[in-house]
Amino acid sequence: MKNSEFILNASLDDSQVQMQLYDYCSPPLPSGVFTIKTHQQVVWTEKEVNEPYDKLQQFFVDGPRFTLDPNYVYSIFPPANKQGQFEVYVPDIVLTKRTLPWERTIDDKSPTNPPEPWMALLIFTVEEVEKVKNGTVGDVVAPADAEIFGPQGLTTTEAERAVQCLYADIPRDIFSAVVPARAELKDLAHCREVDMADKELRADIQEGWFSVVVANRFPTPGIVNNAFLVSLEGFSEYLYGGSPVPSQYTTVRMAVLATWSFTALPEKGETFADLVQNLNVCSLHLQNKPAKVVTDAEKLVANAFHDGYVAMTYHTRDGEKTAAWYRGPLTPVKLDFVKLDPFFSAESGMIYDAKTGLFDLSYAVAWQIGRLLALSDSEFSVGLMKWRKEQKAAQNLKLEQGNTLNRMQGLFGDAAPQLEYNDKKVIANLIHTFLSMDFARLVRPESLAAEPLISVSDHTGTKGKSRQLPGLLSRQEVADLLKQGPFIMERLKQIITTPGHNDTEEKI
Amino acid sequence: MIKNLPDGGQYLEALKSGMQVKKLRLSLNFDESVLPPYLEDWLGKLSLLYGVPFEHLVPNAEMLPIESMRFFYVDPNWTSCLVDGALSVGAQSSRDTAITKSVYAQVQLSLNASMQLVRRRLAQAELPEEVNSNIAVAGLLIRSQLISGWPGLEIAAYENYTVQQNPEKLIPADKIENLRFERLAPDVMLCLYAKMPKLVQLNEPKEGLCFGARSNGKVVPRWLGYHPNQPAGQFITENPTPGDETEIFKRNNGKGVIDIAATKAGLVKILKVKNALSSSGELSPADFAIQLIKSAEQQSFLSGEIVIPNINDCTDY
Repeated sequence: MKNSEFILNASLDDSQVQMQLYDYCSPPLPSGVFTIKTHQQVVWTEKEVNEPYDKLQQFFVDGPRFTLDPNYVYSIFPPANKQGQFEVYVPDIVLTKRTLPWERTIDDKSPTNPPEPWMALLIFTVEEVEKVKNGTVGDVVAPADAEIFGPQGLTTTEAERAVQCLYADIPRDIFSAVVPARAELKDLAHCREVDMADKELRADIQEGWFSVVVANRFPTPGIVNNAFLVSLEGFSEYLYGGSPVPSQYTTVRMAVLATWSFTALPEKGETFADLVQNLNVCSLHLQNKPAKVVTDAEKLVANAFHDGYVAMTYHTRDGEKTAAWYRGPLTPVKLDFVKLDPFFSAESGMIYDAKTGLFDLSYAVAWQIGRLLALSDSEFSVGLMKWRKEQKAAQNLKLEQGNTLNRMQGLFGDAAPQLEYNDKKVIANLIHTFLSMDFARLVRPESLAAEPLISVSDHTGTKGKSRQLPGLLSRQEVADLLKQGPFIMERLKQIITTPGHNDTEEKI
Repeated sequence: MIKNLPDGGQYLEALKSGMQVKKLRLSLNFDESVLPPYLEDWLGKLSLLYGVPFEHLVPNAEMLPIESMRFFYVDPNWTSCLVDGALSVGAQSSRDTAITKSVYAQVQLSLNASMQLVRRRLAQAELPEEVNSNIAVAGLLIRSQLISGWPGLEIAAYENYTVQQNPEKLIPADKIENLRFERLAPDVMLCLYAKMPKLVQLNEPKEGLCFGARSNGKVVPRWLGYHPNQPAGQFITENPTPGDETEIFKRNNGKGVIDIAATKAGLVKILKVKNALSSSGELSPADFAIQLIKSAEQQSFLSGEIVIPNINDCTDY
């Protein structure tokens, strides 16, 4: 289930989605080296071919082994470096990867069913094991000191042995007293699925799945306790109830995947209940220091504090140094939205109280922060400029279209007021009609007495010679054509296809 | 030289109400008065105070002392000024400001909506079909070791609650959706809601629920949910008699190391009597974990409307 579904669930009904527990969550493949073996027998009887083809392919499933990325640790209990009444709690560690505790086996064999975790959370007092040490994996798997017992029978590469890691040196008797029994291991780890709706969203937690490793020991009160998440790989024989660590060794060395320390106090301390009950709850404002309010000035300050204001030093532009009120966006009183027009400068957000002579700079500051945040985000500021440019271009275009239509409206007479700007077809038809009828009439008035718009002259020098020019229409034909209106094309075709049309007598 | 130019408003009026443009807008779907969605989303996040420096949210450290929880309303005028500042970037002329004005009413409206989508977008959740148009953003700030020590702390806000008598218990109602839930510092958490909550409950994170015994060292088994009328996770009885209790047995070496096998056997014995085990008759690792989990702590905080300004103390809530 993803975060999103949890949020939906939570907002749809009030039924509280609880926590689900699972015995384990095994990975499709545990970490380690795997081999794919293929075998194919090719048989071709006619050619007497009978050959086997074998192929081996090794691959490696990588996973944490001697070190653990701190990002895998989601939370720890008791919290690190905290003091509290922890001796009634069993420490645990929550990991963000649900399969992590089951990704390896401790004895280099295939996973058992149900699988065992390969890590365990061990608790030691600071007297038993002082602290973790830094070293390389090589120091862990092959300790230089002959009295130190490391994990047994691990195969490591040279590169792996050079990796830096943490390890703990545990006295032999403490190790055998504290380490869990092999049969107990599977009870010390499990998976949880929880509702994420009321939590902070984190990029690394997509789903509410966690794995939990629990310690097998109560903290010792009155002393600093160290918690170590250790790798049990190579210790499968030497767990509680198994064979003892050989007596020539004094110390057992284990790779530490995660560690923290805390103090278990016998008396009350910082447990969840203690902390949550001691929370000081009120609204967000500054406490008025002199609790008694007598003078008007004191009342003014007390009221301002109550409403969430703080006084700040204000250096005016003139260089004057004075005080000004400031209140952030988070106010202890409910305010209505009264601002209807945008401000275009920080100064327009300044509020001056003539009675006290003080400025309230809250809104001016808000304006300035908004501007700075916008400027610091180039995607937003560039996007805003681009949008504004588009708006201007669109407005210009519309205005231009309007003007053009305005100019043309004189031409269309009565039809014009009904026109919409997108009536492209109607306008085109109007123009066509105008050109072919009204304009044609202007060019060639119907009454012979009227003076034609175009005076007749002989620019081309073809006057009276058109008979010799192929395809040229006579004046009569042109006049005839112009009278056709929208059917001008039809008439033209008709004239052209009429045989001998060019023989028409020229009259002018 | 100051020319006798119309001011932004007049220009805008002329632009909007002039016959020409009115016709244009009607006929051409002119996209005036609309900010592109990505700009609106950005402004929505800004309205939820993303990026606003902490010292501007809480100008004086004494407003949020250590181990405190503070309720507040968000001043809509303040966030509106914040948005004005952001929209002022690159405005060089009265025409630029007029364009801003022309979209302003629309921006105010759509910000309300986009604020409510921010957290859902972050969680890659499905967006709702309609959003609440009437919101008054409010919230709370917590500065406490609870925030640093209990990652995953659950903070749930409710619009209403009823008080149940005997045993006295608060029954929350009408959950308010989070608008923003963010850690501002290792020990400071900011929560914004669409309404001022009347009841806020802090829950111990469930994935970090710890294991342990009751303060008397005893353990009362819980139902496992394998059989009807046995709600998983609830104690088999509220008033345990000695026969209903077992303890966390320890190895015999005085080091406080738990003997898991013996502890399991003790639990199995009681659960068998109650007929609560699964068909295998054993406790699986998850079953065992349920038994030893200490129940999550929950603390309720009530808030109330401030009616009379009380300037001297902190008893508003």
